[in-house]
Amino acid sequence: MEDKINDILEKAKSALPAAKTKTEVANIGASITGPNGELTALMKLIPTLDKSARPAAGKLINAAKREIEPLIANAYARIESEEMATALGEKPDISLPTIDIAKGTIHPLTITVRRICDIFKRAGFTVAEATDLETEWFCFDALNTPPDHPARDAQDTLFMPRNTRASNVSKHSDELYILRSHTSSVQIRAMIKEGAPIKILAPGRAFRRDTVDATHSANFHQIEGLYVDRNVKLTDLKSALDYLFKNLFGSSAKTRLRPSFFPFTEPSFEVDFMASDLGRLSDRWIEILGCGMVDPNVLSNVGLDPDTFSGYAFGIGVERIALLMHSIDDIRHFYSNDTRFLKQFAY
Amino acid sequence: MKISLKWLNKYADISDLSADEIAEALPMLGLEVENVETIGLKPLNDVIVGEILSREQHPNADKLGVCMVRVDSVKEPIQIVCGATNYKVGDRVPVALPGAKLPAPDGGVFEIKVSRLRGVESNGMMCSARELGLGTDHSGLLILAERPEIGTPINDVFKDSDTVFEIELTANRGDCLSHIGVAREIAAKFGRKLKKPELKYTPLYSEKPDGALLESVESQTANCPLYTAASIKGVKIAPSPEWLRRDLESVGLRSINNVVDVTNYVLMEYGQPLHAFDASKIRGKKISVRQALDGEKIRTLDGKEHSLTPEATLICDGEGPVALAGIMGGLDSEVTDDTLDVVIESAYFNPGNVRATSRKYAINTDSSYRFARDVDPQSTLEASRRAVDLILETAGGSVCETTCKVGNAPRGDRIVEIAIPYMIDRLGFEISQEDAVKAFESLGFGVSACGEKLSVCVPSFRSEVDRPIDLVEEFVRIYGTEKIPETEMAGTAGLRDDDRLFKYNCAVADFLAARGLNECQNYTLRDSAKISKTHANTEYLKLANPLTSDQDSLRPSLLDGLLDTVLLNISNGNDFYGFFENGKIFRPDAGGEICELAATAFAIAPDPSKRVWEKRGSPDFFTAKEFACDILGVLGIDASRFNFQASREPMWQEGFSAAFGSEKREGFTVRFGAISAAHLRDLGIGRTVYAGEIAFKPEVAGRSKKGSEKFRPFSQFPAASRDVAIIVGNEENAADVESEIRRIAKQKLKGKGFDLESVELFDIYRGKGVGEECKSLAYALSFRSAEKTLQTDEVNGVFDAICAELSKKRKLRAS
Repeated sequence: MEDKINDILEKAKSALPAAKTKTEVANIGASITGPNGELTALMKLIPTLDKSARPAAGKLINAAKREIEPLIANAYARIESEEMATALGEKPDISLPTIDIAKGTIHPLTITVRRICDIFKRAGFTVAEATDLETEWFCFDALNTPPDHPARDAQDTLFMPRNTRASNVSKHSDELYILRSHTSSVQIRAMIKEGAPIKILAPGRAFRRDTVDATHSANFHQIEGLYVDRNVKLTDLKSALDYLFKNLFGSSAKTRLRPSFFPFTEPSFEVDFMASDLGRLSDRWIEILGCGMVDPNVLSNVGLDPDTFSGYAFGIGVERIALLMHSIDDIRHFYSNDTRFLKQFAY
Repeated sequence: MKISLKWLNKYADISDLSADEIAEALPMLGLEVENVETIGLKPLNDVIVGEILSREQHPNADKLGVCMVRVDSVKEPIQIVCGATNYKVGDRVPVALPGAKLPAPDGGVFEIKVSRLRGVESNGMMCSARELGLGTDHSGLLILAERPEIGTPINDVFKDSDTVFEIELTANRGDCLSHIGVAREIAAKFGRKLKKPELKYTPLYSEKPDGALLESVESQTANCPLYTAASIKGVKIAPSPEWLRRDLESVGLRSINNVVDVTNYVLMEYGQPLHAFDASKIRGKKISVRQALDGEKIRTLDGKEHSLTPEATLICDGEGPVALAGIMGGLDSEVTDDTLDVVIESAYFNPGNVRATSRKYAINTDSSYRFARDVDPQSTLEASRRAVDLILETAGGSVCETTCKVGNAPRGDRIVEIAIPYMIDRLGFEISQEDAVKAFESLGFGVSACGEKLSVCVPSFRSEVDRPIDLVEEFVRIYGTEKIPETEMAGTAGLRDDDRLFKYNCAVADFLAARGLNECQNYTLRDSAKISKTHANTEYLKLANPLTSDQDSLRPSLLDGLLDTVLLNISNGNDFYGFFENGKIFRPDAGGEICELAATAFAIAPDPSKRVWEKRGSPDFFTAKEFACDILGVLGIDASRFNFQASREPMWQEGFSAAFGSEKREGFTVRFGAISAAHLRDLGIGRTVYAGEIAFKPEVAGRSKKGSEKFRPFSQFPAASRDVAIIVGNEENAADVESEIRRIAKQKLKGKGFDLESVELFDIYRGKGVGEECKSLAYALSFRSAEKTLQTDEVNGVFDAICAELSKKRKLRAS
């Protein structure tokens, strides 16, 4: 009996590591421990043995079984690993270039908009949207711009024909539809809808009747900022501008307010900024945006009491910031969408 | 507008301020400086008067002389090598000493150094006029015939230099369209006193003229609330004196004759446009101001004839129009060399009316520019008196005692009350009452204080200062914005969140960029002739006043722009996979009503012949479908059960494109597939383009339930799967077959305690055993119970019943 058991063990030890397939392992297993296996056959002989020899024989057989079972399991594991490795195919040359589609890109104007919105978001501003198609009232009248103001002339603003109808751009009365000449119109729509206090940014397209050249574009992007609350002061506006430019151009960036004129703010300012890492434009004042304290007439026009509320507003030219941030020399690059341009800016 | 520094000095003592100081101060007052130009000699250091003591021939150069030049009455003369020949010993000439920086012809600077010329030391340079920047004469040295003292700085010899500022004004500063106006601002900033010209002529004012040159003057229109006419007899028209001519030329005006020059001079001085009429040409001795008749004609000074509409305001004599009011005089009444008697008009015209008329007839003059920006109605009288004084001075004659004046100034001085605490409130920093009073008074405003309140008298020349907030602006201008203290940015947290459309645009851009597409920005305005080929109802998208025909229309789709982008990048030989854009588009319905939609579009067109070391699958219809459905997913719309219809629009290749939705019903539309081959050929794109566009009403972005999904428990028990293959016609949609399976399964599962979890198409077969014009669709049906492991019998029971029902109408294929 002992010899027979040893034979079986020897056979398992040599055959299982050599097995090439899972079927082969199964067959070997079955030939030993299966119902018709050799070890099973020996087991069946136990009752025929002398009573005193039975426990020893049983022990021997069980010991053999315990030895064989991990051999079978190992054989399976070895073959499965080999199969998975084979499925990987030939070993690649790891220096070869990738072949699948490379990551795409986010447009530099989008990047600039997000960057500015992220900066102001930390100070509690959130984004508001309105339509590109606007009406004269929302773009001009409500913003305290009188009917004979030059900005309203057909020479500068793009008008739709008198009979134009738009299903989702509301009119104030029977004024004309236009393409908004600035994102300031969002101030009006947002304040009418949401009242005050309000602290919003409105990024979007604006339109002027301009010939396209290196610095002009028929449409361009602005980010309007508006903060109206009880007791918003001029110093708050100045601190918001300093905060923006230090975030955008580093802590050495400085701003200055140059008195100017916009119908919808009083006082009004042009903002110049200066930074030290702008190449040729370093360390000199660069005209960058217009801003001011919201004119009391604008607050009245949207139903807010100018004695209770005050606020500031600013309009940032997105193209202008992007041109400066990336030293781009021609605004037309933004609208030609050549991948050699698009791929230079990472978000 | 040009402002001369010399001229400014007449009205405020600012001679100690450099041109640079003024050029820096003006923008901070709100007057933008576009350009600074020096007339005459620029300030030059180390250029002085020298006397040539001797000249020797240069030992090594025939054309050069070696001169000894005295440049200091005490020190030794210096040796200078010189190539000029027009001088003689004893001449005095400008000498640039080492260190002097002369203007170089290229606009830069040429620095003088000690040098050796052909072996001989030269310690400076004797200069020609051109070398000093004085004109173009370079024929020889500039001989100083007046023989100024040796060592005199050259700027003291040529004192006639001036600096001219080109100033750009905002619409609210009509008061600064004059030298007095700008001088007032500078005087205020630097604490100087404004000195206005002394006026000698003190007329009597009367509505009725004295009859000498005029018999009647009237204004019949509200566009001319104030009209004055002063009469001067016996003038002698002649060229202007030198000072007048020079002053006008310094600000870019051409001298014409003494009378006309005076009117222009006063215009530049006071900002009040004047007009000089030859009195003999005023027919009927009558002036009236009125609106034009429809079709009335006038020939203006520039020789052009204009046919007018009633919006234009005219100055007329007894017989007809003589001037377009506030804009330009008529050709028939101008002052000529023979003029003896003149009438000087000084009036106030409505700014809006002048602006509209000047735009309409495209006539821009110094006069219309000023009237359009609201001149000071009070200066009308002052300017007229000043003009009389200067005409009498330069052209002689005698003035009538009476100036005819009809109407009144529409605006006078007014009182605005302001409290110091209010100012502090708006400013955010402390100021004293003294600060405020000082700022207002420096601008010529009258101030009287009553406790914390100031009563500010704003003069008529400031047309737009009417409210306390306007005074706050005036204060900040003069006080100096640089004194606004720096404070920390204050933040507040609120419940308001970013608009959902913005969030969607960010998310979808990130998603598409991660999938290999490049984001684009194309123009909103497109060519109507082109978009009408591929989009419906585009006639309603045309602008009323386009600038160019290639940008005369709103875009109805982002795809046209993206196809431009594809073409450009193919033409430029760029390697790319595809592009996308987020933006607004405009869709008119058949009735012409426009709906502004938000949209995302993509176009995929990698180079099919691109050589790579291992090929991947090319994009196809299902690439486009997946992009489109995934974009809808980002928008929060589940597209998995949409019943897509074949797209029939000319943009798309028939049979290779699909569409779903409508703006009116669902609030969104989606289209995707292959761009029509014919359209691509029109555009000149030589490859297949798979594309798609999702357009939606902006509020759809807000409808998404993303982020607020509720958890649904799922079964812990295994699923049981059964396969069925169904033979259908080639034209039949797989989606229809699937819904039929689902409908039947739902019937057969009623009351069985388990569900059909999924139906998945896993094979499409055409060929043997299926028959012509047919295909076999193989579906895996997966059943599952939430409560138990399903028994084979119960699954088979339902599955067989489903098959039996299906086979009533269709042929099943044995698996």
